[in-house]
Amino acid sequence: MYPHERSLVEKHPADQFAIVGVNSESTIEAARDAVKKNNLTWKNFYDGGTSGPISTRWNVNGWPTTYVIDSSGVIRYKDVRGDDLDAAIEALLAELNAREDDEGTR
Amino acid sequence: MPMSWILTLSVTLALTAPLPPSLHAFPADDSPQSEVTEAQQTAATAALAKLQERINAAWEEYMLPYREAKTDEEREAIQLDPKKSPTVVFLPEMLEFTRIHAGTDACLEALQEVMMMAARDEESGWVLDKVVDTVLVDFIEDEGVKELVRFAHYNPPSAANLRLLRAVADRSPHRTARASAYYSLSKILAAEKDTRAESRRLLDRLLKEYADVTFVRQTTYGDLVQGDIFELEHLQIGHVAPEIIGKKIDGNLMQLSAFRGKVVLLDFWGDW
Repeated sequence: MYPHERSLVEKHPADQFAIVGVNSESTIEAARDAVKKNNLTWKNFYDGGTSGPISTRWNVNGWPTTYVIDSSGVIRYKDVRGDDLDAAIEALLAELNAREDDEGTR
Repeated sequence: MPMSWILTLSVTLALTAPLPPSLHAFPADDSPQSEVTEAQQTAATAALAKLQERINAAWEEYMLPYREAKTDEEREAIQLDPKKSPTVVFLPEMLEFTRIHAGTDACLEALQEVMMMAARDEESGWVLDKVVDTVLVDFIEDEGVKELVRFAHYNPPSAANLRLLRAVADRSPHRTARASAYYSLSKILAAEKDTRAESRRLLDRLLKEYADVTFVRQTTYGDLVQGDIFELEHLQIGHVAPEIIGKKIDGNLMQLSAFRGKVVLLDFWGDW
């Protein structure tokens, strides 16, 4: 998962795409080590364990669980992986760019 | 008293006792169940333990290449023959076990394993229907069916799975088993837009009538259902993502809505 995520961050411009992690390690030290070890460059909430407040509210019972959210903050995909994840992100970026072009020409 | 003597006795008893009429393959009629004797229970439990030991040993052997591989490259190069998987190899024997030991506690446990085995093997879909038939005839009144349905929403989707859950929900005399069936059904029905309203009705019913029933350990269905109702109402595709305000790993505050204007991959993860 990590190499794929790193490639997504490298591929897409930082002002259009971001990964936001919610880490459920049982200690903050373990969370810091995991970020360092896997060379993660993106931002992460720390949730304090698998039954932390964010995971509980988002009803997460399995890890990883992923959501893809569009530029308006709307949930558009749940738990897509691999090539499907690439395609999902590209579709939403295309929407975002089409909208920006639209506003630019108005 | 030596252990082996007890085992010998119970096995002998089981072998010499006349077989009750329900001990035939997948009874097709709803004939009343015959009482299973204590000796038959003991014999079945012992036989299942032996069978499971052999299955475990087969898994050890099947997965041996992974334990012997020294590098990631070696591990990636491993190609196991799916036809030799213990799941496929032992399925007929497990089915035979449930036939021979029909009606025993061990049989119900074996049926649960058969269901998982069959679910993992594409060509064994027909087995699921057999398992469900057996459960509905021999075990519908047994509280143990709750073990069979509790995590049934993780089984690959099948008509047999739904048939089992609906039957337990409608016909089990045990509220613990009904609660498990309602919950699994609600999870399965939540996945499709068309059935989401029915999923919600089941969740409401669980909350109203079964909130006190234990799911696992300290967690009750009441605890679980709250999260599922929130997910149905706020976490579906098309909903605005609920706000998250929390601390980052570095201790500073962050909020999800600050990323508006960007496409966001929200990833719940742990390195374990």
